[in-house]
Amino acid sequence: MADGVDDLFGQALSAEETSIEQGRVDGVRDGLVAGLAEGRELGVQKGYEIGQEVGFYVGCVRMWRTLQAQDPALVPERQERGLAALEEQLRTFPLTDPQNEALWDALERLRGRFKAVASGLGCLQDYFPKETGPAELTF
Amino acid sequence: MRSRFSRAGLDGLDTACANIASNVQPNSQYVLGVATTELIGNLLEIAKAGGGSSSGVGNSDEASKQQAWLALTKLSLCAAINPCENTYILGFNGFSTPPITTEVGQFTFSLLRAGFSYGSNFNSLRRSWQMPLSQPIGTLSGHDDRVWSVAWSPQGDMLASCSGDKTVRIWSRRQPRPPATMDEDPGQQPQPQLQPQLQPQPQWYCSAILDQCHTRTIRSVAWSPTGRALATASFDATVAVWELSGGVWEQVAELEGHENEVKCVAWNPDGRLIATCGRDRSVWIWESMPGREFECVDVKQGHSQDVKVVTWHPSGELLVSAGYDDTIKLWTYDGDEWGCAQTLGGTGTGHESTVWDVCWDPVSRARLASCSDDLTLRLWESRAAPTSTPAPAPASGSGAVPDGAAGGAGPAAGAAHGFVPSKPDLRCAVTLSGHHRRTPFSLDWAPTGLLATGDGDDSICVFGEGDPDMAQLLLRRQQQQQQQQPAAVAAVAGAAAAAAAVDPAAAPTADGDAAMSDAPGAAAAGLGAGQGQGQGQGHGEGREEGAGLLTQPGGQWGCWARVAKAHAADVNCVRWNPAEPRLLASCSDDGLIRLWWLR
Repeated sequence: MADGVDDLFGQALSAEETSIEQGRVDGVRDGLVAGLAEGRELGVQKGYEIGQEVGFYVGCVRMWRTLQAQDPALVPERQERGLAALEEQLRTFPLTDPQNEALWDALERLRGRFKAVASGLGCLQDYFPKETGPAELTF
Repeated sequence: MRSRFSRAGLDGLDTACANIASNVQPNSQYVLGVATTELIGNLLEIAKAGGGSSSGVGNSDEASKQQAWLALTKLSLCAAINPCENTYILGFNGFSTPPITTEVGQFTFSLLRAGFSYGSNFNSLRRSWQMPLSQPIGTLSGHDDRVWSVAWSPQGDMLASCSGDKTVRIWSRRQPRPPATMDEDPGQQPQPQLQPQLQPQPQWYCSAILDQCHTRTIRSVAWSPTGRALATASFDATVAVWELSGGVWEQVAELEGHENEVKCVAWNPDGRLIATCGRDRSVWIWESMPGREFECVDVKQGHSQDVKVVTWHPSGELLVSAGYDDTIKLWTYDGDEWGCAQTLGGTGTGHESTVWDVCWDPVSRARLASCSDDLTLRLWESRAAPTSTPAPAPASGSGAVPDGAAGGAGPAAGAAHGFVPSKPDLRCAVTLSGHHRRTPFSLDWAPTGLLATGDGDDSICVFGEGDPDMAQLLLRRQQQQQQQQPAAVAAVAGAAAAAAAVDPAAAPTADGDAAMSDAPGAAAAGLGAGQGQGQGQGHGEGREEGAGLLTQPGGQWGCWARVAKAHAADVNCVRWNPAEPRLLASCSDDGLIRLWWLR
C-alpha cells in the first residue's frame, strides 16, 4: 500500500534527481566522444612529433653510416661506439607502443646520445631550433 | 649596549688611528680594525671581568660602566686588536692607551682593513650587536655589470671573476702575504711588548681581463686543478677554455653543443673532464683530448627543468647536478656511459624549490650541502653514516689522519662515513632553515668545516657545527702554534671564529668569557694529546666538526656569523680560498667583489 502511494508520486517527487542522473549519463556519453576525439588529436600530434624526432635521428645515422662507408676515417672510435649505441637505441625504441611507460625515458636517452655523437662528429644540428626571440632575462 | 656612533666620533677617526700608530710597538702583530662601540664595550667588559685592565674603566657597578659607555660613544674610537697576544689598543682623538692585555672573548666575523682610510661603510656601524663589522679587507671593482661568479685558483693565489659584461677578470696579489709571524724566538712570546709587528695587508689588483670571446653574459668560471687553465660558461651557449702561457691568457678551445644558456661549468679533480649544464635541461660531459681539444663524452637529459649547477665529488667518480626542478642528481660512470645513480628530491624528502648550489664537505668527502630557493640549506649524508658521535678518544687519534676524516675508527679516506662515491646513497641528514630571509644563491664548504652562504638579502652567513667558543679557542691555539712552528704549519688553518650573538639567547659577554676562562684548562688537557701529533689542522678539524667536542656533544649546526650588508645587492657567489681557509671572496649584482677575513 505504501509502495503504491510512493509509486504514484514517486516520479514527480524525484524529478530532480532523475534529470540530474540523466544529465550525468548524457555528459559521460558526450564526454567520451569528445574526449576520444581530443585524445586522438593530441595523440596524433605527439606521435607525429616523436616520430619526426626519431626519424630525424634515424636519418642522421643512415647518412653517417653511408659517409663512413665511403670514407672509413670519418668516424673516430669514440663516435663509432656512440653510433653503435645510437643504432641500438633506435632499434629498440618503442615507436609503435604508445602505452609504454619507458617511452619518454628512452626518448631522452636517445636525445642525449644523439647530441653527444653529433657534437663529436662536429655536425651538431639543433633539432629544436634556437629561439629567435629577444634575449630573455635568465639566471 | 649603546649602538650609536656619534658624528663627531666619525670625524675624528683618523686622529684616533694616528694615535694608535704611535703606540704600536715595532714588531708586534696587530690586527687593525675599527670596532663598533659594542665590540669595544665587550672588550672592556671582558677586561674588567678578567682583571688586569688599565683602561680606566675599573668600576664594577652598572652606572659607572654606563658612564664609560657614554664617554666612549662621544669620542672617536679606533681599536687595534692583537688576537695572538690577546691585547688591544684603544685610540681616541686625544690619546691612546698602551697595549691592554685581555682575553678577547667574543670573536666576531669582523673584517680587517688595510690602512687607515674609511668610507661609507661606517654606516654599517650603526647597528645592533647581531651585525658585526662589515668592512672587507678588499673590494675589487672593475666589472661593468653584475658579477656572477668567483673562483679561486687551486693554489689560492689568484681569483677569477666572471660577469654580465662578458669578461672574466683575474685578480692577483701585489705582494705575497708573509706567514702569520716571523718570530724567530718563540721564547719571547709571552711578552707582547717586545715583539710587535704590523701585519702587512696584501693589495689585490686586476692582473688580466679575458674578453672578446663570449657574446653574452659569462655565468660561471672554473679553474682546472692544475691552475693553468680556466673554463668559462656563457649564456651564448658556448663554453670557452683558456690557458695561461707566457703570462698571457689565450682561448684554446670552444665547446659548443648546448642549445641555450650554459649555467655552470666544473672541472673534475684530475683535470680530464669538464661538466657543463644549462637551461636546455641537459648535463654535458666533455673530455680533454690531446692537442687542447675537447670531445663530448655524454649528454645527460635526466633533469626536467633548467640545471643550475654541476659539481664533482673530490674523488672524481661522482658528478652532482641540481636545478630548477628541485632535484639533485648524482651521476656515475659505469665504464661505458654516465648514468644517474641517485636523485635527491621529491615531496617531503628533498628541497621544495630550485636548488641553486651544491658543495661537498672537503674534510670528510662524505657529505653534500645544498642551498635552495625554499630558504633552507640541506646536508646530505650517506645512509650508512654513523648517526651518533664517536667517542672523544678515537677522535683525537683520527685527527691525525692526513685526510682529515673525522669520526669513525681508522677508516679509509672518503669512506669514513660509509660513503662510497661510485654508489651514492645519500639522505637528508640536517636541514638548516630560518636563517635566510631570501634565497641563498651560493654556498661553499671550507676545509675548516665552515659553510658560507651568500643570499638575496645582500648578506653572507657562516654556519658551523659544534661549539663556536671551542672553535675560537682552537683558532687561537692554531695561531700560537703557527708562531712557534712557522715552517711547520702550511696553508690550512684548522679552526674557525664565531659570532655567538646572532642567537639572542646566547650568553652575553660575561658568560662567554667565563666559558672561555674555564675551558682553557680542560681544553688544554684534551688538546694536549692532539697537539703532540704535529699539525694542528687534523685535530682542529676533528674537534670542530662536532665529533668528540668537549663542550658540546652532537655537533649542532648553527649560524655563527652574518654580515648583513655585505653588498649593495644580491650576493651571487661566495668562495673560500683553498690555500688560506679564512679568506672568503664574495661577488654580487652590484658589480663588486669583496674579500673577507674570518676572525
